[in-house]
Amino acid sequence: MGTTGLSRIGRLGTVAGLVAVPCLAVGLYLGLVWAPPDAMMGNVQRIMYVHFPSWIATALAYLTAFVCSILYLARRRDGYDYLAQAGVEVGVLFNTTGLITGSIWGRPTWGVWWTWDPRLTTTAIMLIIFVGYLLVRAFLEDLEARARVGALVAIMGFVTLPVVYFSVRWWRTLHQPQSSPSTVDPRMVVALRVMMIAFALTAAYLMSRRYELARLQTANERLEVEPGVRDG
Amino acid sequence: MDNGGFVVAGYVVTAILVSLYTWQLARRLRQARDIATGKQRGA
Repeated sequence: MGTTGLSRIGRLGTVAGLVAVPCLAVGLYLGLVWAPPDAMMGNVQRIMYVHFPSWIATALAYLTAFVCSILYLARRRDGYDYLAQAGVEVGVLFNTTGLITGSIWGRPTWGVWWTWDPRLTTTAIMLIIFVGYLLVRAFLEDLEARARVGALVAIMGFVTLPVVYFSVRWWRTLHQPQSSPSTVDPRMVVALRVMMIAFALTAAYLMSRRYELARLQTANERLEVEPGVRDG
Repeated sequence: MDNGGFVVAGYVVTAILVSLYTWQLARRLRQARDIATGKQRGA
């Protein structure tokens, strides 16, 4: 494989992207038209069809970064570092959309755009840690130190994910606990699941492209330092 | 639609952020490919 051609991960990402487009189209129709409004919240509940899938994409991306960071520290293969970078960057994107859509939902439902509730606060801390990962990487020049320190920050950041998940059970919070599919209209469950799949596929596509970028950038940097060295 | 503005805002903000990131990623990828191609020719 040449440096500029698509890797296996890149080709898998292309497939994920191609499947994500019709899934998103169907999910949007189901969420905005087909699913009924919530009995208590009315139509504003439809924000959940982008809010909750954002968290699924975030968890998938951060989990990828966590697993690949551990694998990088254990095996020191560049590919794991590329995937970890991809996971963090895409995770930060969906973490941000999750926080913003939650805030937009919170205004008509809770009466506030933001409150220092345990769920919201832990989620913001998680975002700050992973933004820190991107900043740390941007400041370190040595390729290996960048990957090693990045892996440690990603592992540390991932520890916040279970805290975020269980925050609604551990502490008194304004945010409702996890819902059960058995307590809502089946059409809502279908719409939510289609959007969850669509967002997960979109995240997979974006991670594959970010992986390709990391691979190319590292190869370019190595060529700058040692002309004649190719991506291996 | 009750609170329709909030629903539209939620979807539009998500679409804008994901689209902007996708566009910026494609641009960075194109630049990196150009650099790699140039370097391979020069090497």
